[in-house]
Amino acid sequence: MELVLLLLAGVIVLSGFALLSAVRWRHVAPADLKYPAVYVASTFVLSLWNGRFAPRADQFILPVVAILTGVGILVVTRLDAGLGHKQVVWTLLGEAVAGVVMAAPRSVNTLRLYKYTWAFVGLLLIVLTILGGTDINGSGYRRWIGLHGVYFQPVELLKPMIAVFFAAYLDEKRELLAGAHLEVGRLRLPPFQYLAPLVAVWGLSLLLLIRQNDLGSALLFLGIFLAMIYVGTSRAVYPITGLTMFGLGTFVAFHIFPHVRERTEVWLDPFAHNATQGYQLVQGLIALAVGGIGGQGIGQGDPSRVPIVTTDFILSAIGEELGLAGIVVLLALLLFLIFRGLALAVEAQDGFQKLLAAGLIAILAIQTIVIVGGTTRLMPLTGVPLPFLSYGGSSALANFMIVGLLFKISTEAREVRL
Amino acid sequence: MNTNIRRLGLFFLLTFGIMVLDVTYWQVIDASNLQARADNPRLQTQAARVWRGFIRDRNGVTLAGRTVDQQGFVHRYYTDPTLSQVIGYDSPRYGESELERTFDPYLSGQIHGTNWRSVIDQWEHKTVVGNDLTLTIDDSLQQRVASILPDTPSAAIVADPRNGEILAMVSKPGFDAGQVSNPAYWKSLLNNPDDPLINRAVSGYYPPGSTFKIVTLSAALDSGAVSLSTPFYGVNATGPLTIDFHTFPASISNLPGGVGGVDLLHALMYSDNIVFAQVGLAVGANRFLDYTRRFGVDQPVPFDIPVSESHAQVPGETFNRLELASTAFGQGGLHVTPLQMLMAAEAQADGGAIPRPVLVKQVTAPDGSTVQQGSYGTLYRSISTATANNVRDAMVQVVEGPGGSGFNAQIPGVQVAGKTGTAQTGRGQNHAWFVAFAPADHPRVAVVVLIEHGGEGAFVAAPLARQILQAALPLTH
Repeated sequence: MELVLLLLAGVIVLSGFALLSAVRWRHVAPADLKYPAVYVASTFVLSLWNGRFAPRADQFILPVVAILTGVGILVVTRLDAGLGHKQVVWTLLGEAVAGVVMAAPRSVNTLRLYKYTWAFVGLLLIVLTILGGTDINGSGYRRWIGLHGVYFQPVELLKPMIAVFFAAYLDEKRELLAGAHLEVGRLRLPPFQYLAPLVAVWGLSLLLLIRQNDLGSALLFLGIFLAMIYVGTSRAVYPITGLTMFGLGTFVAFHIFPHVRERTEVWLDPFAHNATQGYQLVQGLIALAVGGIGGQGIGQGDPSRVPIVTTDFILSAIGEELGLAGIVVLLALLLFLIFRGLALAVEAQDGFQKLLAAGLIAILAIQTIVIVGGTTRLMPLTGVPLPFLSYGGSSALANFMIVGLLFKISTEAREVRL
Repeated sequence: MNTNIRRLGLFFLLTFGIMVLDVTYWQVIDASNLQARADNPRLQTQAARVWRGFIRDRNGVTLAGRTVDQQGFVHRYYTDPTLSQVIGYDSPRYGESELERTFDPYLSGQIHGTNWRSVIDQWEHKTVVGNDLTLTIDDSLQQRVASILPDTPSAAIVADPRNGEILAMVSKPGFDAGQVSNPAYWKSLLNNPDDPLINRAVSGYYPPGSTFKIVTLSAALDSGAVSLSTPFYGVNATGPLTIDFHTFPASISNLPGGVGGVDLLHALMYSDNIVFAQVGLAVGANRFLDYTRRFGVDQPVPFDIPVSESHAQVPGETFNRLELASTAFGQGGLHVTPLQMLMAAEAQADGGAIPRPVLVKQVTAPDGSTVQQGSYGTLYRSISTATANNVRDAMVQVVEGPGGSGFNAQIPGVQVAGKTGTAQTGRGQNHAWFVAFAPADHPRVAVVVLIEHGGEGAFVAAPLARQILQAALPLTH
């Protein structure tokens, strides 16, 4: 089943590249198909590896991931061929990571033993980035760590790490968090000592927001945590309190920090700032409009007019060339992936694994919502990659790590059932 | 826990649904607004790839053309700089002007014949090929007229009074439309005090001076207030003339020494302002203004390029007897374009009707089929044919009659009808005017010449008008 679907994905991706090549040169240049062919071959290798080590794992996740990643590579290559080749290399590395994770002999549950290590390493990475990182794109914020010319965004790796930590912590304290409460008048609040991690995450997200102007990651971490705590405790009070606190924090930040205020104003009326801070958003929206329902066709639009189009604004490029139709199909595939992931969470026997699966899926889902919502003015624009579609090495590694973990959870759930 | 996971899934489903609706809003519902925004850089790139249509003169001579470079970008070139204020420019930096602007939808291929092929071509990203314009301009005449005019601020129009076709239109100083995209050149045009970007022939405002007497005479004869044989004696012919405590001096009667009385025909021949002030009073303010409107003053002029509207009075000022008297001989608050004076002459040449001025003869699709014919027609029936013929005969006397002020426009073997004008400007030399048409019995060519601060119309403008008529007549039949 998986192989048949992968074949379909491979055909779609390769014909996309052939079309792009034909538009460019008026004939299909075999050299243009080299990198995508290597990529498509790698998905089959991963599938065979998968069949060897996790034969009972979910059959739909890999084909969906393969087509999303393939379309991402196609669009990135169309915008910048060099970047597209790099993305293929990062994807191969990511697939290797996924392969290692799914073939690991130990159970997923081993991860929970080191929960504080994950949290500590993750936070350390962030602190290191803030202190000794590099600002490679002139944004004025240090968000990368450089090693021999290869730049890495630690915040991407932090995503799966923090999901592991939350899952382990919540599974342990689930009963306590769900049961106990502190009564203040008519309000039933959770006991303070158990609120500590909530406060810590709230602090972390505000730190990201203020020190790195990274509202996207801030929202993301908060979102993952709230989704997981809700799944773990069934208590709506957590997400509500969390969102209120974040809202308060943002409100204060709005009044204290000019860059936060600027961003909000651009969101409220980008067209009034179309030549300055709102330029990117307005250009992104114009690119979408130019695409219309059917799109201009791959290679036939002019999406490079939008700044940062290969990462944050990849949706605009997709919209211009593949149209509303293309966006809807890709969003549907992402939603399908999310639903498969949540189905895995339901299938999983163990509380930790349920929470982990839900958390990993929340990473993909919330990231999609934050960047698609930002590009289309549903919420203030914040730069996070669109999973599997945006260019980004760190993000590709993190996403494939998530895929690997989902496979592992899926395999273990089905083995237990047998 | 499983219920919560399902609820989480429902939440994501809802959010994705909202996102799809939002993307639909931008890509479909608001798409045309967004695409048309001036800050959409694609509009320029697309425009730079359109095979913009050719503009040719009436004999097929290319006036504006295109070259396509290696990258597929189209470049505009112009062959005759004397037409820059008529054809205008098409600059990626400064946009379009004149015909390049008013006919842009045709030239850039946005308007095409009803043709399903074009819709499919658009889907296939085929190169857009614009429509070609054929003008009424005769480029050989155009260049001749440009060489006849002096290199000081001046304007001239040559037209066919039978159908309104503009054969030549020159405004000086000119500019080179092909160099407009060069910012230094553009800046020099903007800083030039003589405004080369302005088409003086259709947008320059001037007092018409005595050329306007053909309008006053038309009003007087057509309304029956005065006839050509009506006599004016003594101070009524020579001045001074006092109206509402203002005295017009005897010097403006323009009568040769010893002439103590004239009829209206001779008043026109000598260009007697004292007589025409009284003619204006005899016609009366309301009737006079009514006739000026029938000649197109205070009315928008439908034309293929932007035109300024001529006015009989300065807005806000009352049109009293003194104003009426001054306006009757072409001064006062009157400010008109050379095109307006051409139209006044055409009415006399064409039996009282003013044809709509035409610059674009035809719009042709790339496949040779006609997209649109020029907008021909009659603009106004100003006066009766009988009146027009009387005024025409009087204008012939101005040129050919003994003592007529327009003698410098005489052409051996051709009867020319004309009227001189020497307009006071308040500062500097007077503006020199001449309007004419020929041959008087079956006019084929009408001409207006204006030399800013040129001096006497009879000595400066009339000889130039003669040269222009001599150049134009052999080209028409």
